Amino acid sequence: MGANAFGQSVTRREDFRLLTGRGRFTADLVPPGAAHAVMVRSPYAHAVIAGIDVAAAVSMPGVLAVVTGADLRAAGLGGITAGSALVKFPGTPADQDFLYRPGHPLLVHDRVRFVGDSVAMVVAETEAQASDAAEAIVVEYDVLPCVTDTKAAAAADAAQVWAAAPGNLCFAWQAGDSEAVRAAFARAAHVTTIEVVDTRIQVASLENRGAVGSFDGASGCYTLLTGSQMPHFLRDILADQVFGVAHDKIRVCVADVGGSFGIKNSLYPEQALVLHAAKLLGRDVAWVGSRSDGFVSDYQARDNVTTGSLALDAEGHFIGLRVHTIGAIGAYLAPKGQLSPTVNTPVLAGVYRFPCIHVAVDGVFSNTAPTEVYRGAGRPESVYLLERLVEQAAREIGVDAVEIRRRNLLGAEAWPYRTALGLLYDSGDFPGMLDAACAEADLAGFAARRASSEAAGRLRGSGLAQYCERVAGSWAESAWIEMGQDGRLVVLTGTMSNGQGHETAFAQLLSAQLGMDADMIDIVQGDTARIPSGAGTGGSASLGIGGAAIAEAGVDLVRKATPLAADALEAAEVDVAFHGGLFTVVGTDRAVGWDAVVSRIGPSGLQADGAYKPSNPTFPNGCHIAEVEVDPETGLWHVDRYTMVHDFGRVLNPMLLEGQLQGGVVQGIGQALCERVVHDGDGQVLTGSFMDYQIPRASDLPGLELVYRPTPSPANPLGVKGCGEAGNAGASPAVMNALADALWTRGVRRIDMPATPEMVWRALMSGP
Amino acid sequence: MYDFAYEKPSSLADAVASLKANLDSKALAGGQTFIPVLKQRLNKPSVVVDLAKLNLKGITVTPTTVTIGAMTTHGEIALSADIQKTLPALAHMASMIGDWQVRHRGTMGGSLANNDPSACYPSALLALDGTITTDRRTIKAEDFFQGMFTTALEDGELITSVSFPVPEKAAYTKFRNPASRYAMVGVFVAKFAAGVRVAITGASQSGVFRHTAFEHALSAHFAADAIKDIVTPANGLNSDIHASAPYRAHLIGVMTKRAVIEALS
Ligand SMILES: Cc1cc2nc3c(=O)[nH]c(=O)nc-3n(C[C@H](O)[C@H](O)[C@H](O)COP(=O)(O)OP(=O)(O)OC[C@H]3O[C@@H](n4cnc5c(N)ncnc54)[C@H](O)[C@@H]3O)c2cc1C
Repeated sequence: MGANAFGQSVTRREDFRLLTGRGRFTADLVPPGAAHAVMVRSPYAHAVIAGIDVAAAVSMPGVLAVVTGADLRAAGLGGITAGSALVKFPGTPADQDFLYRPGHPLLVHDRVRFVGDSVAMVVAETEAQASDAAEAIVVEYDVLPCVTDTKAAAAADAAQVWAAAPGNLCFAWQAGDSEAVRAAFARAAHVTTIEVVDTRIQVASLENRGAVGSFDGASGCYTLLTGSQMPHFLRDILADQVFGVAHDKIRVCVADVGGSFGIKNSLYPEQALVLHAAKLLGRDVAWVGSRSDGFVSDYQARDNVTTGSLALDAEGHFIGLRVHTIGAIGAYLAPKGQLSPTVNTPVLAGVYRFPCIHVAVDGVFSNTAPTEVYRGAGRPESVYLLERLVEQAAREIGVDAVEIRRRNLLGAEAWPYRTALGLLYDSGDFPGMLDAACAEADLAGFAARRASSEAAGRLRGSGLAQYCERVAGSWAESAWIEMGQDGRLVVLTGTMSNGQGHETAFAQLLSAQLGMDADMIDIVQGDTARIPSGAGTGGSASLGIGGAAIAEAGVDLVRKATPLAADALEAAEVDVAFHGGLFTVVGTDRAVGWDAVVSRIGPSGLQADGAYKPSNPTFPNGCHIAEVEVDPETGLWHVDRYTMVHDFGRVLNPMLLEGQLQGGVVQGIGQALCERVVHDGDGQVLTGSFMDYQIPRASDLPGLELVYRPTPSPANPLGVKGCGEAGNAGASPAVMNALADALWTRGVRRIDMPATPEMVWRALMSGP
Repeated sequence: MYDFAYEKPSSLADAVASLKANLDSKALAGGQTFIPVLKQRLNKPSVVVDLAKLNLKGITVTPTTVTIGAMTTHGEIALSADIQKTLPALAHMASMIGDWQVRHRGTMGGSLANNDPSACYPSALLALDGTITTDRRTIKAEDFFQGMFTTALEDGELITSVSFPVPEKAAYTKFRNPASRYAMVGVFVAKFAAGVRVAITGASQSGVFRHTAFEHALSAHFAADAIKDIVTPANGLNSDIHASAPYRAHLIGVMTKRAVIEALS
């Protein structure tokens, strides 16, 4: 088995540059001589703009331009796309649509709707000059009542964000079989109901957002350099929605990206505005956001309040699930703003046999930053609700939390299995997964560990979350390979790494497939002028779809190389077969390697391509078990033990996989432990820096036990399932179930994320 | 950051003169508080006077006093073998400030001059009944702190050193603000022959304060049990997104109990 074989932990080729300060992030690539842009943002959550006076600012030193919403209207620029169509699942009424669908303006000209809303952009020779001028712009605001809390926004007396959206309703969507669910609840022996809160998340990627715009007057072509997961998606919105130009008049280039998690997925005002300003001024314009900028203007995520009810029969079998979510949309409908609360609700079926499910989602506007997809995009939210519900039901009916799952798990004999919300499960070993996780986590030893915690005056709880995701099924991806006369492969892919290590993974994949040194393979991503198409990176799909496309292109390369190899072998093409890096005359020991092909390649090289469109998604699944310890005197608690047993199908590179899992688990723990955006009554963001917005630190975390239990996916030729988000999906419910278990012994019946020390202390104080 | 002039004088007299001569001038020590403030454009000094070359660093320990130069960093205090031996509570406190990067830059003088209501050192100074020496006088701890971010320092007055009497026993316990890791409630307990002093930081709207009810009880009987029935009133305590006033009041009791246990161990 070669060093680059499938299943080897090949080290990351990206790391040398990233760890030695040679990474090339957007801010590192601001061209000399570029002008600098600074945004003027709304200090109010909701206000009418009565006037904007830019007179003083425009004549300040170094100022090149001040752009306002009125200027953009005059220039005929569009806004950012407002969502895509609402998804239709079994039971979704055919005519279901948005009730109101406001796009995100590049600059507001009439009314601001959240603190951080974009009001003007100042461009100057230096960033300091632009900042000085921004302070000199006088905006007159007439302040209006605002609402930032999601449940409050849905209430009858709430401040109204849009006159055209009564009740702040963006959409009221549903799926599933409400009649069957009603019948199931009518005959249930027991019904468990809980309300859970998924707090609003600041994604806080390590690299802040940034954008550099250029315009070439001769060709009329705009070039945007920015961090993104989806360069072609940005190109299309910019061309179709904002500038109204042909796609080839917009080039989007992406270099290194310092984390995204969904937040550098859709278009932002600044990305369009630097292009507009570049055209206006005839020179490059750079905007480099600060962390403070990000805290008020990055798209945020999650922010749902969900009520779930589980109907059980007398033997503890699940007979129906009913879910109602109020999901925050924010002030505007972001390009993918409706996705998270709706499109991944099928994950609510979990690992269980559910005869019927009904889910209803109200998307509500509030005076907050728009919400967007974030690691898991609705899957973690669904798993969180379901797995908290399952453990609550177990406690209520007095059945062990593992036992209640065993009674309801789907077994492999069920495959293929059509879930109540329409997924077709095709693989996985859920009962074996549960057993393995219980053994790995030493659940048998829990009672003794709890006793020793209690002897020290501490509470201990154990919590489990078993999940089945649905990923990598929604789109197609293509790949192109060019083999030059030097024998190097240049691979073009439409996926876009934001830290995952795609260059390593894809080179490893082709190296293993083609029997070629990985150092001879260059992976090219992030340039819409060079790469014809791309769905981009999201939804744990880059290997399952993008990798499969590259593998197909590899097959095509072999096909294109075979005539050259046949020539070298002086054999007929049909008699030559490729295996393990060698072209062999079938039935003989006569073989040549790639060098024979390379020496016959003409000046234009060999071109190959491939594409892959899955017919079914993949179903990554796993079981997380967490143990927490609580200091009841202060409410401080920590995760003491953490086990994750997982099935991601075949594993290309275990080290990259574990990196994804660790990050995902930690973000999930972060939600449970500490992460939340907080607004005050005036809509001001109180969590405006890391002094107040808490992300988990290494010292908050236990060692993570990660255990492999793969079953190959039949949905793609690589047999992989996609691991980018699953850590997140299991972690929040496992940890919160453990905390709920610890507190239950003291009579606490409700605890929400994030369980801050004070909330835990208060819950304990108000117990019986 | 706004533009400012930058000076790095090599004598205390020059530094003081420069601060006096320029309206809106500011001293710069470790910059761990001041530079973020500048970057956010929350302060617009005309001149920034760097104290780095004034020879204000150093630790002198006798059996009865610990004296620390204003520019001594948290890291130097945390790692000082002399302080670890004579006043371990102070070394321990320093070791819990920020992270290593902060501790290698941030200074005791900067922290005390800033008097952040969540800072750690003010509780040590007040509980230990320490003395601040400036370019022109000495100031007792009791007189130095005058409410959050406010001290007895005059415009342009520089702290040069701080001295602490060595107690019989002492301990600092810190309930960290979960996000910033500053003190959400920090308690410094010091036992002297003359009695026990308890200073609380992080909790009050008016900055560090002495907990006289605890002091009386602990002076009578230095044991954790001595304070178990004393309720700390919540009024006047801070409420923010991390902790309400009643929770802080509760934590004051818990963290003081733990400090006493630690001082006795
Ligand atoms: C991430 C982080 C975490 C932190 N955590 C903690 C913590 O847990 N506990 C804690 O106590 N602190 C904490 N701090 C604050 C840290 O201790 C700072 O170093 C300290 O508050 C300021 O000291 P400095 O030397 O950096 O002063 P500077 O930032 O340089 O100055 C602060 C102020 O004091 C003035 N000043 C400085 N020196 C003198 C002097 N000799 N005489 C008169 N005025 C002077 C300056 O003009 C300025 O107004 C943290 C800081 C950071 C960045």
